[in-house]
Amino acid sequence: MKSLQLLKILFFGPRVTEDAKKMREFAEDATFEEVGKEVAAIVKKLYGGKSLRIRAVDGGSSNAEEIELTALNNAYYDIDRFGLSFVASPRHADMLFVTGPITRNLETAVRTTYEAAPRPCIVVAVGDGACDGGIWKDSYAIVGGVEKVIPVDIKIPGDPPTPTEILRGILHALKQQEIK
Amino acid sequence: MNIIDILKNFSQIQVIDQKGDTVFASVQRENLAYVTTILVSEYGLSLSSLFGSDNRKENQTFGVHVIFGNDSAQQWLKLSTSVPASDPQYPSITKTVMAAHWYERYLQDMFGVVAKGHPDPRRLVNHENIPVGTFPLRKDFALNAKLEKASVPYPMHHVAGEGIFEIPVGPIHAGIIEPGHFRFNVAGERILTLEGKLFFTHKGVEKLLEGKTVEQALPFIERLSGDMAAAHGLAFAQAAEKIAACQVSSRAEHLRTLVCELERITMHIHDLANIGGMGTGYSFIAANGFRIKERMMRLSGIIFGNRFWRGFVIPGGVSFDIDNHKLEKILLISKDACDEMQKIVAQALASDGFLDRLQTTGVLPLEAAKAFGALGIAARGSGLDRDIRRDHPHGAYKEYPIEVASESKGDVHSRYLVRIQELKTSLALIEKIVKNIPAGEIKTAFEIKDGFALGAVESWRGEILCALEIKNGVIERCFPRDPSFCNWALFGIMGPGNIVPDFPLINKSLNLSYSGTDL
Repeated sequence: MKSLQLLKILFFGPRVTEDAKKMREFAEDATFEEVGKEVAAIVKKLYGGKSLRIRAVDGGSSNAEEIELTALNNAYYDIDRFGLSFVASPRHADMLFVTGPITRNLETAVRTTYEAAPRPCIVVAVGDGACDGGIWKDSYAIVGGVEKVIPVDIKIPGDPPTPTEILRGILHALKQQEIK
Repeated sequence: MNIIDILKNFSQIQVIDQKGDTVFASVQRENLAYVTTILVSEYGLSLSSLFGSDNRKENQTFGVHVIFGNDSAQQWLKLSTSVPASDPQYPSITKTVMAAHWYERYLQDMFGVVAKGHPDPRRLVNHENIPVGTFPLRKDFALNAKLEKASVPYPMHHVAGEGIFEIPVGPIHAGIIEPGHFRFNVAGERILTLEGKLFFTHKGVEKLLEGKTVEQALPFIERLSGDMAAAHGLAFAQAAEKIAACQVSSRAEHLRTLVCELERITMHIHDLANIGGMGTGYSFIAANGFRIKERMMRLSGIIFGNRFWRGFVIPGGVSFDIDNHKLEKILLISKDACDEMQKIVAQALASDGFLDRLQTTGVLPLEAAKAFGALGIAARGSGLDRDIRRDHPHGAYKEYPIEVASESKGDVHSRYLVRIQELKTSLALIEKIVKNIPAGEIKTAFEIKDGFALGAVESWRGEILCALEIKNGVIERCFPRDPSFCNWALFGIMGPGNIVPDFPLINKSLNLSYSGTDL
């Protein structure tokens, strides 16, 4: 009975795929694809055809940045296509994404995460808070932007930055590496 | 039963005032714990919030305020007491009313007002690095104070014995989530005790809000927790409007309700995908759910110019009008998203392996939910059917009463089913709003006055209670209590007995906000 039900779902079940062209209907989607292709090319050149691994660290954000970073994995953006992926440990990371104004209570955690990552490690500050402390910077509980704690390679402003802006930030960071 | 009638039974309580749905009363500090206990256990009021205030300038005291919800009569009670600055302590409420436990520890850290006899008087907000004697919410503490780096112990519970191990997790987690630290004491795979250490993202929001005008404060409120911008904004705006005696137009009320329900749909789809997919490893559910959620975020982008339902709710109404064409589009996209998500979860629920992971996992018994003052999905999954939309209706909820979804088993599966049911309720409500929305103004002249008021909104996570006090036209004190604040401690009950690998699933089934709790 169960197997019959499964077959029924498989052949006559709900529509589970969308037409990629129809799905990505915005002008921004086209930009995203273009930037993605550039990223893929530069990753190939810099890392010899291998991928770029990213570790995301929350330094005190409002969780909006995390939502956008998670969105990069959904079917609309799917950054794995361009050789980018999020990893679970800083030990595996080529790039560190740090979000939020760094709070006093997270200063040590952000620093130790950075220390745990192999060199060279590209540090990207994601969002207004991470860039300079944003609207929170005057508070006693805030240390400030990410650069107050660890060296930052590139800043992606935004409140929070959109997936396209984040991808463009990655591209800039990689271009910087290429020059180095 | 009306609050005023209830209070007649207490000789210790002086009723001071009644404004709208809120009754103001005071009590001597010696009697606070006693009357609170009777109000909660005999009269069935809920302890909905507890916060302090610094009144040393006026009368050399600190204020301790307890907010009670009286759901049956749609009222609130603000019961205040004052403790002298020279001896800032009062008998602890937590000894008899469990729901006060975190509030009192919070009060102790932020104001230095001690709940004497608190069964667990450890630090809560202040981590190791905060020096002893730092009380950020006292008025003589400067917002930009540069604190020394201290090393004060922040003890956590341990279990000792042969074969017992302790697993520390966090604050930096493997996934892309917010920071928090969890301590598991385990025997084999089974959890014996589970305790969280939070407040890593403490940004000093309450202090930042002080001295700001209502308009200046709104961006902070919308960023308390990125995924609850509309609901937090609405709770804050409601409190401000009550103080200003500002009557919002019916069209604006409809639009505000609409945006809250859209936020609920977006995040319920996220949670159904996250629990079903990431929590159990059924990646089909996650891949499709997140795709559908993206459509809702894009809808927000089209209508509001940002992907987080922000910048719409303002004190006095809404910031811009939404025309019929756009309303139809909202209905179309959200109906499509809900319908498709229902088909996907139906597929998940037809899988025995999936049900096996969800059922009997992370059980929250009804008694524990009541005792801890659980809110939102956590409460309704355990048969505690509380919902601000029905119990203290505001805006368009008055015109379109909703049916509160509730399940009784208290496990992850129950919370999953509640979300599925609420997705249906929300969509039905959006349909009604789009069909019946009246024409009219969207903004009412808003001029702030001095005073105190509460704003209560049922966000997708649960009840937000925003306590706001205005003095000389600026914020004197604002405590926007996120539902997560009341729910975090539930893990101490839900965790033990489960195996460690089920914790991420239990965690996702509540999906609490770290940032909203940490303030």
